[in-house]
Amino acid sequence: MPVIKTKQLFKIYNEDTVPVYAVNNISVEFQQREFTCVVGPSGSGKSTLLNLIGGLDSPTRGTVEVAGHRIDEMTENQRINFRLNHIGFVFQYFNLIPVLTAYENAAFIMQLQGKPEKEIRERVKTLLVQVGLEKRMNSRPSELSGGEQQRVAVVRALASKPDFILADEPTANLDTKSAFNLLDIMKRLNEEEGITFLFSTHDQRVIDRAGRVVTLVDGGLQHDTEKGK
Amino acid sequence: MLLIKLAWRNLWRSRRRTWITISSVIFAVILALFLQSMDYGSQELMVQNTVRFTTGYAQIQDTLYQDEPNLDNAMVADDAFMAEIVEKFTDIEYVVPRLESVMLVAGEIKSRVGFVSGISPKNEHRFNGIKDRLEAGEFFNQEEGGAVIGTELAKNLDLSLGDSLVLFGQGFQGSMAAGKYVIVGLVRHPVPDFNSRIVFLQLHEAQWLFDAYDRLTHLKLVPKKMRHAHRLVSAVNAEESLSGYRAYTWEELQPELVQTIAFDRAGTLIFLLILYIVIGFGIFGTILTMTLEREKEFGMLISIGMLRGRLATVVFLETLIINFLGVLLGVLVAFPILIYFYYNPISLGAGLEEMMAEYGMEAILPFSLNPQIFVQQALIVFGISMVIVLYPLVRIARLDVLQASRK
Ligand SMILES: Nc1ncnc2c1ncn2[C@@H]1O[C@H](COP(=O)(O)OP(=O)(O)OP(=O)(O)O)[C@@H](O)[C@H]1O
Ligand SMILES: [Mg+2]
Repeated sequence: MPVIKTKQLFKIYNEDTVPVYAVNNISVEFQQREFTCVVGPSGSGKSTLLNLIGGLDSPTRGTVEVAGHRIDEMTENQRINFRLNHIGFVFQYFNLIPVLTAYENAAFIMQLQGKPEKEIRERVKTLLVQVGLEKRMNSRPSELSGGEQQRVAVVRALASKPDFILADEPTANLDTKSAFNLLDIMKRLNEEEGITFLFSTHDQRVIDRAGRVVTLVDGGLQHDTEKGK
Repeated sequence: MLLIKLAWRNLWRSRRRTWITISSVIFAVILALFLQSMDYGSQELMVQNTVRFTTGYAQIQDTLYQDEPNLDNAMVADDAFMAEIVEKFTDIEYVVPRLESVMLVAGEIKSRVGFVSGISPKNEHRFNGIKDRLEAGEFFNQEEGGAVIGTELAKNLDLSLGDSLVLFGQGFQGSMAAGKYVIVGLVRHPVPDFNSRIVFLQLHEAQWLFDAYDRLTHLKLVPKKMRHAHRLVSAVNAEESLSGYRAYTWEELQPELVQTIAFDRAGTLIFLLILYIVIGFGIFGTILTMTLEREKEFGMLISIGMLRGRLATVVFLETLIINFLGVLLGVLVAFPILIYFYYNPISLGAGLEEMMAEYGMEAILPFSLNPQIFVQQALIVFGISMVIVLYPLVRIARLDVLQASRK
């Protein structure tokens, strides 16, 4: 069973006047362990597609299934809870809660889920060490570099072992070195944890590291290529 | 726990702003506590002064007396009865018996309608210190004979110490009541109306005069603690062996006094309400800014899976903590000062002292430590938090996640 499956997915703005097909009839599946990059020019619908898959936005038509659950049919609160328990998010900016430390931010999802404190501590500390933040655990986001902040966000998304992780342009605000570093970490965690990653980017060098590349043009799916196939 | 931590940390994101807001609450609470403490204090003193020389905090009457206050409805109450009452109800410290009626008071040449009150001199003095208001003569030092009358009555009747007066009127069940008494004392009664009419007799002499042996028009119950008056009255009224009697609190006997107090309190409350509205807007401003500047964060939190209700709880806690800290610190600052003024009331100065002493009052601005004042503060501030937090709650409920994170 695919982790993510969309069928004839549409997101149309201003359907009655001048329709904008932000997502135009996309049927696509993503499997367990896949490390997929969504690319395309600005305005091609990358963010819209990721938002639909993440249940942050509702489709005009079509269906979105995550691990067998139709999230397009859920109520608002059901979707929030579904996101909490099944999907990890990494955003382009403003990922972290300013008043919490790196550790507290990374532990936030598991705490919202009500996991036992001991389990949270072990898991989050291990991951923070893995992404090279063992010395920054007690720093506030404002004291962290952009790359460090994004690594905390990745740990937070990953800690609760979601079905997949969505990242809309996670490297857009980073310098090249930090961007590569973040991507290497994501790739390594993808392999070690076996968690599906779906992210979007503009950066060609980032694209090169993806296992699968989905190209959008004007809301439609143009290419879908997998490496080594 | 997580939500409390978040709320707490958020508050100190801008220390200065939060402290300014809390200070405004502290200021309001202190001001309100002072105003109300003085308000309640003066009212309690007023009640104390009035009640001491009139109805007492609680009294027992015959069931019929309240509607028809005449001697025919005097109740049976001998010494044994009084002793039994004091023994039965542990809230009672002691009792003050009275047998009263209107009579004609005649001097050598003039006569007036007066008010004859048969009293137990010892208990009466213990209750209201009447003996200290003696201007001339003595206050029933002998077992037999004599009347103590108000100074104004004496003046009106051209009578002085050692003169005789004649009382004339109706006794128990239509009997004729008449007697001649020597004036043994002149007392300045603090209630002007009484001072011009009152004739005190010893209880047993009044009973003899009215032909009403072992009877009283009412029996004042002096509770050990003033605030237990209500409890005491209910207990007496619930007692089956006292079915022919009925007990009343001072509030039931003096509805005008209750009204005066209610009116007084309403005035203060309106003033405080205005104060609270002003302070409320200050708090609202802070909460509003704290909400608006965090919309992006709210959007992110809902995106990653935080229910709007939980987010709203955080904002609610923030409001509550600000107000709670304000009340707590306000009370902590005000309480010792109020305690000081409670034990050392502000004096109104020598000029007023004499004038107010005439009316049996001390020239002081008393403070009250009535717990009601503090409870009221807490409730009002809690209520304000509830109202203030409505706006951010609506804002959170309506927040468009995608739009918020795009800003
Ligand atoms: N709320 C909206 N109302 C109207 N049109 C919208 C709205 N949101 C997005 N669009 C349109 O939908 C299309 C797809 O937008 P989207 O943000 O998904 O593109 P994108 O590929 O993520 O672009 P970028 O690379 O700049 O992030 C664009 O043409 C955009 O103008
Ligand atoms: Mg985008």
